[in-house]
Amino acid sequence: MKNVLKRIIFGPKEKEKYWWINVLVPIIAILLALVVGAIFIKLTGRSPIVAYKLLFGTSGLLPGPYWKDHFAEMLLSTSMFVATGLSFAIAAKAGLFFIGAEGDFLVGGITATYFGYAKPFANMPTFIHLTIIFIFVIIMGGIWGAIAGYLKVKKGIHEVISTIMLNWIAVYLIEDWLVIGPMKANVKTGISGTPYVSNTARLPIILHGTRLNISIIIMIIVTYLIWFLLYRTTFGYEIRAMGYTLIYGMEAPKAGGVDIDKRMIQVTFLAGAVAALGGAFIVLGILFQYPPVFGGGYGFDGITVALIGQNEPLGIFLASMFIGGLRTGAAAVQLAHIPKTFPSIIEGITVAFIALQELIRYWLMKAATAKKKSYVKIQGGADE
Amino acid sequence: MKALEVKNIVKQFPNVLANDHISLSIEKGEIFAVVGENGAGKSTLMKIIYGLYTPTSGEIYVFGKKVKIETPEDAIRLKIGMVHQEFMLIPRFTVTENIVLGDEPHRGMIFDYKRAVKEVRELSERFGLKVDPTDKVANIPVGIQQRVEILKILRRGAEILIFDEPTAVLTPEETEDLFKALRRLKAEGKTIIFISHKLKEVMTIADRIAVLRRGKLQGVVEKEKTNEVELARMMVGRNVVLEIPHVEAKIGKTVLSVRDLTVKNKRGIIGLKGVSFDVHSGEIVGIAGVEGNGQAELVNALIGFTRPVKGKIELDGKEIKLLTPYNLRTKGMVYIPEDRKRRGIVLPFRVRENIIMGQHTLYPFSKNGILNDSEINKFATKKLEEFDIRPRNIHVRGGNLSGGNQQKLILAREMSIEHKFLLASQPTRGLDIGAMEFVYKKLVEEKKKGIGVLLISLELSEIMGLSDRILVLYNGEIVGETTPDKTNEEELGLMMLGLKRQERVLQ
Amino acid sequence: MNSHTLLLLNSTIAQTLDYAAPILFAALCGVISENAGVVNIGLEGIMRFAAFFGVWGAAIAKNPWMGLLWGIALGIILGLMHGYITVKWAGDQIVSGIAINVMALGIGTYLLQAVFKTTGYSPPVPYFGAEVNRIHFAFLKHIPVLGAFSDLTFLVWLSLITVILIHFILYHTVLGLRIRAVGENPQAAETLGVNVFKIKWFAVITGSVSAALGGVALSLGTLSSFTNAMPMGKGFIGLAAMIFGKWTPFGALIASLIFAFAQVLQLLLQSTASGVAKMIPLGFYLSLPYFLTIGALIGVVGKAVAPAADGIPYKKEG
Repeated sequence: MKNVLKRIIFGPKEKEKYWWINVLVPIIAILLALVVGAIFIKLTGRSPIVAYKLLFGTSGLLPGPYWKDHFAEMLLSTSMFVATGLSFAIAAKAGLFFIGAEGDFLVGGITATYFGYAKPFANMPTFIHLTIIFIFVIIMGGIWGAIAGYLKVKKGIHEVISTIMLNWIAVYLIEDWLVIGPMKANVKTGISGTPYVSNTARLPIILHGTRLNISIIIMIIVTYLIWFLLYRTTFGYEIRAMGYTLIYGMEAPKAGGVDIDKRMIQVTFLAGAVAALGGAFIVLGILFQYPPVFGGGYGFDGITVALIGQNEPLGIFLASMFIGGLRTGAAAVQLAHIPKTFPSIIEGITVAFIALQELIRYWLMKAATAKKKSYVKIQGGADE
Repeated sequence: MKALEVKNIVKQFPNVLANDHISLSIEKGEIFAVVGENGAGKSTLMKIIYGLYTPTSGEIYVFGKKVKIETPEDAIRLKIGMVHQEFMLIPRFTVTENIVLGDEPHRGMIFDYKRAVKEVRELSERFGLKVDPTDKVANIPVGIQQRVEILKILRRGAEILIFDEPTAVLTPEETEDLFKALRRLKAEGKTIIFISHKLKEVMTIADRIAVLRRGKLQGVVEKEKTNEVELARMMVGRNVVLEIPHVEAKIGKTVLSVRDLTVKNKRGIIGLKGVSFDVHSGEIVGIAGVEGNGQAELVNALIGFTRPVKGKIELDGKEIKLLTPYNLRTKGMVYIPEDRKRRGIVLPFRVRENIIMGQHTLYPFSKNGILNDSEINKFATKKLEEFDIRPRNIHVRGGNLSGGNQQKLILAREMSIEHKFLLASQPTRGLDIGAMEFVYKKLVEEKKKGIGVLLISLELSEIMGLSDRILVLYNGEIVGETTPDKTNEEELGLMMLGLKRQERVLQ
Repeated sequence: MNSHTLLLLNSTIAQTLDYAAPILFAALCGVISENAGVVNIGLEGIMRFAAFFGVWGAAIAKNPWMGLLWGIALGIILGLMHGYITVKWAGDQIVSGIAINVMALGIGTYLLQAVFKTTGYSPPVPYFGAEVNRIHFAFLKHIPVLGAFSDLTFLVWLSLITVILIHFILYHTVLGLRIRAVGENPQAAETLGVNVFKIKWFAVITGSVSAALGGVALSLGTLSSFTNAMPMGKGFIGLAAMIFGKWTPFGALIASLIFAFAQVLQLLLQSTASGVAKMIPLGFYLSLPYFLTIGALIGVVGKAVAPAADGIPYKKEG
């Protein structure tokens, strides 16, 4: 039984020497970024110690005063980052550079809003109502994402271009049409933006006295499902093999019977659907309506999260907690006269060090092999 | 006078000692061959001489002077030039642009293309290597591309020319042209280092021959004083007879039937013109031909990569209407590709993942779309043993296997899939003798098991040795059908070049 | 042609050029660096940095030229960073680019508050669009089409000159031949003694400077301040323009103009809409340029092919 459980959770054991380097790379990148961030604060004449104390003290990552509240807020944003992070990573595994999470997120948000207040659905029992909403969110987000896949397969349009365009189209069509037009709240109510969703469409709270709702539980399950999909199913097997075709232009997966075109559309559907969940969470758990200006950015944060998490589901979850913590603590750093966008500086520098992982790996490998006094390098090899 | 001398060259790679104290000395104006199996260290040694690798230790002397070669720039300055096995050409550039790159005629900053074209034309005439300077490299045949490579290094004033497996990609005709050019260069006083594992060619062209095995120099022999058998023994370290055991074919029913198959090539031109033939169970049908005469189109149609313009394909008596790789595979076709890295395996995938590619959707490897890891591992472990794939570790990534082991992995995989028909497209390309023998053995085993095998090969010896029936492909058509005992290599050669045709009647 | 339509024509063209300049600079960044095989999606962030530092420099020196210099300096610094990661350490080019973008997001807002003590907008500073700084050719004024060029900012002219300059470098100089060779097949270039790393460094830094000019064009071109939303995806649009233009400078120019024209058209339609057109929701007008881009890619342009070694980190063997 224990073994079965272990296998379900960790998958097959794959012995790899120096596996710990893969784990250390993001950690070191984060630590280095914190150091550089401290220098930056110092240079602009503020105290890094005060800033970090405020930042991490209220991040929810470490216990402290009002921990429960911060912890709840941290997990609340974590679930959204996980959504957009997984969206990027799934496509990245298939070799697609899919940056459409931003648009999918909005599509998810507006879909959740509509089915949250629209007549036949509103006031159904919560469970049924939410199920209906999420089904539509997944379908709409998925379709929006799959447009990029379709355009690539049928018209050869690079996914970077199509997703950038689709993101903007989503913003304008939603915010400058739907929200101020067909979905506008009744003027008499004095609400700007769309109407509020019915009570039955609000995500149930799981930590009393906070805003923390079931979104985090949903994302824990989704994270596991995506991991399972990628590593334990034939679909995931084909997706990962596809990367070899899309990145290196090789045909082995195709020769092995993988229908790459079909999979490409499916992957973009999946990526869109997962990102859309994030949009639904923010509407159903925090805003309860679609406001006039959404102030997005979660889609692009997803890329950051995925990169720090090294495109692995568990890594993405942890990275999301880290970023979620930074964002939660961000409000407090204003007390030290530091703008609340400070955390994104840390994030940016972290990603820069992730990009520099060759250097970090080189150091680590040196450290690892120095003790053994061996000249054997592990990376690279003779190609003869 | 000695053109080039290397002393005690050692090159240590992370896992391999590629060169183990190699010392050679090469006279000016000779054609010096270096032979050895794949992985013997030939290319490594040459890359060291050309400054692409830094040796772990050892000394190099050029025209008597001790030198340090750290970059190709150093090598060029010392008048050493190299024609690489994989051409170092830029397809989108013209012949001229490719040749002058790195030392361009110029006025100030401006690249003087007209003068460059003129220079290339003069150079090409001077050495008798005909090229059109304004052609795009992407549009010229491989043989001409090689000339561009040679001109490139001659323009840099190379006195020592290194050729790394130059005939691997050439047709027999082009090889003949190359040899003519080499002799002419020799007559001009150039020194030529010729790397190969094809002993017949080495015996034709070289003056002296050095043999490498597993990074060590086995000896240097003069051509007059040796023969192919001795060289082969030095190379492999034992007596090798590349004789293929003849097994009588037990011909059964038709497993593959191709009728009037017409296929376009990548550029949209008809490359295969209404070809019809059958393959029966228990026989090996060889397709002989010079590369680029329709083989790629035939393969692409048979594996479902290209939809034919017309014609039909029947597998095991049933016509396959929807020609996709998946459909063909599930209806009994398996495929050993000509290019392992491109079509055979996924380099970043582990052995255990690679070995189920194509049967990953089948029981017991998966059920309802969920992979069964323990079955996969069990299977992979068994196959590693059965096909002697090294290292015996199912978690190694495909990219970290040697070429021979990659090919064994593909054989292991394809042959374990239930099939009636095996398409082997240049299955020994780039393999060393040991691995070749292995492939031959496995193909014959298939035949014994009653599988129908279609063998497409550029090596006539392979076709003659393995096939029960031979079809000759020329210019997209089958120009002859014969059997090994009714023909010989010369006759096949004539047919391959379109100089002889045979009427054939299809039953 | 009556004077009204003449004016409309000329001003539409001039406005299109204004809109196009930042996109064009960004696209040219992509053209030069991707021709050498280095993808730089950090151009969005470089534009933001340069837009801010341009304003800062202009504010301190009270003249836009200093802003331009600051912007260029930032371009060089960020180019060095991208180069250090991707050329020196063969790091992932996409990741490095994203790092620049994310940092720009945070640092831009941070400095806006730290330097100007404001959020959202910086105070107005001297800029290139000011009447005294514009470049006038009065004699062109009443000629159709050419009239558009009678009153443009320096940065618009610079963007057009940069197109010609980069075209000239890429296709008519020794350096350009080597840049393209490195982007197509660095191994081949290396074996011929071309210093692949030097070429890549050059292309990355030149490209970053071009993107930085785009940032300056945003904040000191027709506007005179830095807004926190900058560059509003203009960098990514530039990237799209580069692909659309098949990695060539003039292709990028045409693509940028098409996109900019779609923007101007959108504004024009909005302001002149009457009758049924008035009923069309705002969102449709605003999203028109993006629909047009996708439409153009589907209809007009065939499959674009990137340089063969684009985006692949180059490492010397052995």
